[in-house]
Amino acid sequence: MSRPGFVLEVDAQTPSLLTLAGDKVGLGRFGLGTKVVYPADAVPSADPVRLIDAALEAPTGTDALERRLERTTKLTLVVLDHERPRPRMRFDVRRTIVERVLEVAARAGVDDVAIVVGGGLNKRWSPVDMTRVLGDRVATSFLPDGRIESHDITERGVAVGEVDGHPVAINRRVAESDLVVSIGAQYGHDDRHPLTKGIVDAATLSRLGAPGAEQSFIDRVCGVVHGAVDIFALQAVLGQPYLSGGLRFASRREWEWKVPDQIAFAVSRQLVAAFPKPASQALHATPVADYAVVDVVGGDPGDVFTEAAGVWQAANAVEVQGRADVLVTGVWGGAFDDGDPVGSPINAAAHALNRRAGSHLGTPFVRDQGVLVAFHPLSPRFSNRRQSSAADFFAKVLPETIDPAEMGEFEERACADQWYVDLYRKQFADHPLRTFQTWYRVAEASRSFSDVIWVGGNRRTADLFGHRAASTYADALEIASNTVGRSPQITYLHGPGLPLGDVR
Amino acid sequence: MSREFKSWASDAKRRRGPRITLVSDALRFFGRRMRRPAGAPPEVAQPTNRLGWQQLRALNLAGLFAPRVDLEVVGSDALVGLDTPFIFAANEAGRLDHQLLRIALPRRLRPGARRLSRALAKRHNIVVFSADPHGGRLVGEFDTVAAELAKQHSVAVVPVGIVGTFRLSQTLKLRLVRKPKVSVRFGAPIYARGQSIEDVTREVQARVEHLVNEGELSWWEVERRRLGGPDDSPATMPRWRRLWEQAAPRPSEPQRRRIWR
Repeated sequence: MSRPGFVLEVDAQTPSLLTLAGDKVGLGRFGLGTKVVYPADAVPSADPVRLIDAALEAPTGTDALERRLERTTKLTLVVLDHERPRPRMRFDVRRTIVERVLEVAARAGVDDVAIVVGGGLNKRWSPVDMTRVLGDRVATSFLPDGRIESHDITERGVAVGEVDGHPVAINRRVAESDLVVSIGAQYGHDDRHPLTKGIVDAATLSRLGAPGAEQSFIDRVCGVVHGAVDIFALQAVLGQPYLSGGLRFASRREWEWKVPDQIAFAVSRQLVAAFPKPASQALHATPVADYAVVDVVGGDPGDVFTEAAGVWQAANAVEVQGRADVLVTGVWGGAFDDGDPVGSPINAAAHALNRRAGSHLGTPFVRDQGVLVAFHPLSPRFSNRRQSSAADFFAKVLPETIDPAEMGEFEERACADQWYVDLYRKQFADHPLRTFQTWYRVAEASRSFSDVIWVGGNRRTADLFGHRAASTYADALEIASNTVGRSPQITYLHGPGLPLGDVR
Repeated sequence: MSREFKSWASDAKRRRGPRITLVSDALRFFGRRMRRPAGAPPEVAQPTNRLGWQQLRALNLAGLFAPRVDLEVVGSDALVGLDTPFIFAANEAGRLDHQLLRIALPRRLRPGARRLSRALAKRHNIVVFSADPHGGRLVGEFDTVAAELAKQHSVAVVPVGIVGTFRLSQTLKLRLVRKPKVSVRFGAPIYARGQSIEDVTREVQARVEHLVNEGELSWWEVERRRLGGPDDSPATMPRWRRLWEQAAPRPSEPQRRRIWR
C-alpha cells in the first residue's frame, strides 16, 4: 500500500518545488500559503498474477471465466486502449491479463480465439505496438495468422441496436463472438464506458462526444452494447507513475531526494539545455513508468467499470480543504503526447484543463470564474503523420471559431476527408474526430475559468485559444490579480502524477 | 479569417543557444539537507523485485568465455515482469547444462544449485534439474522439490528446455568445422498457488518436455497441444539419431547478406 496523497501548505521553510513545462523541468518557489497537492506516492509494481487469478476465479456478478468457456466458444479478447495511461506502462498489465486469460482458454481447449484492440478514436496499433504491449508470446502466437486486429472505426460494423433512432454498430468480430473478455487499465475516475468507446463505429463516437452530449444518451448506448454480447470484463486499477532512470526525481517528493536523484535532476536539465533536441527527445518523448497494480476487478462489465473507478478513487483521492482562486499546474509533454517531448498545444490544453484540472470528485479545485495558470510553451508543433488533422484544425478552424457549436460543418468535412481517413487507417494516425472532440472538452472546461494563463506560452497560440500568455509565474499572477485580487488562494497540482481532488 | 487577434501577440521563435545549468544546480544542492515539511508523511522504502528488459539486456561478458558453442537463447521475454527470485526447472541433458544456463543469463539472474531454500530466502534464483532421462526419453523425471519450494516461498517456477548439450563435453573435444549449437529455451512461468504439489510437478514436467520439443511451434500451439492434444514427444529414439538431429543445420538461421561478393 502506497502513502496516500496530501496537501502541503507552503511556508518559509518549504524547499523549491518541482515544476514541469513541456520538456523543461525546474525548481521554483511558490508564494506563502500556496496549497500544494501531492498525489498518492508512486511505488514500483509487483507481479499482478495473483490479483488477476483472483479476479478470474471470483468475479463479481458472474461465473468464473473457466466455467464460461467451452471448446466451441468463439472467444474474443478486447484490449482497451481508449484511455491511455501516460507515461507508458513499463510492465503493461494488459499483457499479463491477456496471457492469463489465454492460459485459461487453453485449459478449456478453446479453438477460436482472436484479439481486438479497442482504441476508439486513438491511433490504431501497428504490429510493433502489438508486440510491445502484448509481448512476444502473444504476438508470435496470434499475429502471423492475423488473429490480432486493431479496431477500425471507419469500417462498417455490425448494428446491434438503436438509440433515439441512431443505429449503434460495433466491431464485427466482437459482435459475432460467443464471449468477449474486455481487458483494460483504469487510470482516472471518469471513464465509465471504456469498452463502448473502444469498439463502436465513427458515427456513434461522433454522437457520444458531441458538444453537450447527454449522459443519458451515453448510458443507453452502453446499455445496448453491453446487452448485445456476452462480456466478461477485467479492469486493472493502476497507481501513480513511478519514473526511473534520468527522470527518477520526478516521482519523489523534493525533501526525499537523495544524491542520485539530485544528480539525475541536474544532469537531465543540463543535457536538455545543452542539446535541446536529442536530449529532450531521449528523456521526455517516450518515457516509461512503472505503475503499481492496486487491484484487478473482474466480472460483469457494468459492475466492473464502476467498481474499478471506485477503487481508483479510493487509492488516489486527496482531501483538499476549500476551493482556490487560482489553480496552478505543470503540463509535462511526456504525460500526454507519445513521441513528442513538448506535446502539441491542443493536447497540452486538454491535459491541463480536462485531465488535471478536471480530476476531482464533483467540486472543482478552483471556484467558479477562478483562474487557471499552466506551465507549457504551447509551441504550434504537430506530427506530420500522426497529427495532420490537428495541425489543419489549428491552422484553419480555430482562426474561424473556437465555439464547438459552430464546428459541425468542419467536423463533417474532416471526417469525410479521404486523406485523414487514410492516415488513420493505414498510417497509424489519430482519427480527425479526436481533435474536434478534444477541443470540445477544452472549450467546455475553459468556460468555467475567467482566465486561462499559459506561463512561457506562445502568445499567438494562447490568443488563438482565447487564453492568455505570461512570461513568468509572477506575471501570470499579476494578470490574474485583475479577477482574483492581490492575495488569491492558490492550489498547485504537483508532479507528473494525477491527483484526484476531494475538495471540501 | 473571421476572428480578430491581438496584433502584438508575436509568435516569433526565441532561439536560445546552449546554456550551462549544471553549476547552479550543483550549488543549489551542495551542502544542503532538505527537511521534511511539517505535515508531510515520512518516507517509506520502495523495493522493486520485478525483472525488466534492462536487467535481461545487461552486458553479459560470460558469453565470451563460451566461444566453442553457438548459444541460442529463446523466450527470455517470458521472464519480463516476473518478481525475483524464481526457480528455474531445467532438463538435464549433459554435464555442461548448468554452466550454459548461467552463461545464457545476466550475472544478477544466475541461479545456484545448492542450499536451495536458503538461496531463495536470500532472494537469489535457483535451478532444479530433472533426473537423467531413461528409456530414450529426452527429459528425465522432475521430483517435487521445485513445486515444494515454489509453494513454500511463493515464487514462480520458470521451465527451461536445454537442447543440444547431450554429450556436449565429448563433442567439444573434437576438431569441428562449425561450432555445435546449443539452445536454452525459457517457457511461461508456472504459479503454484492453489495447485497441489503433484499438479505443479506434472505441469513443470510437461512444459519442459514441450520446450525441448517446441521447435517452430508458437506458445499458443504448444499450450493447446500440451493441454488437449496428442503427446507428440518422441518416446524412444536411438542415441545416434538424437545426436544427428542435434547437429542438423538450423532452418530458421538467416543467410548473411553480402553486398560485396
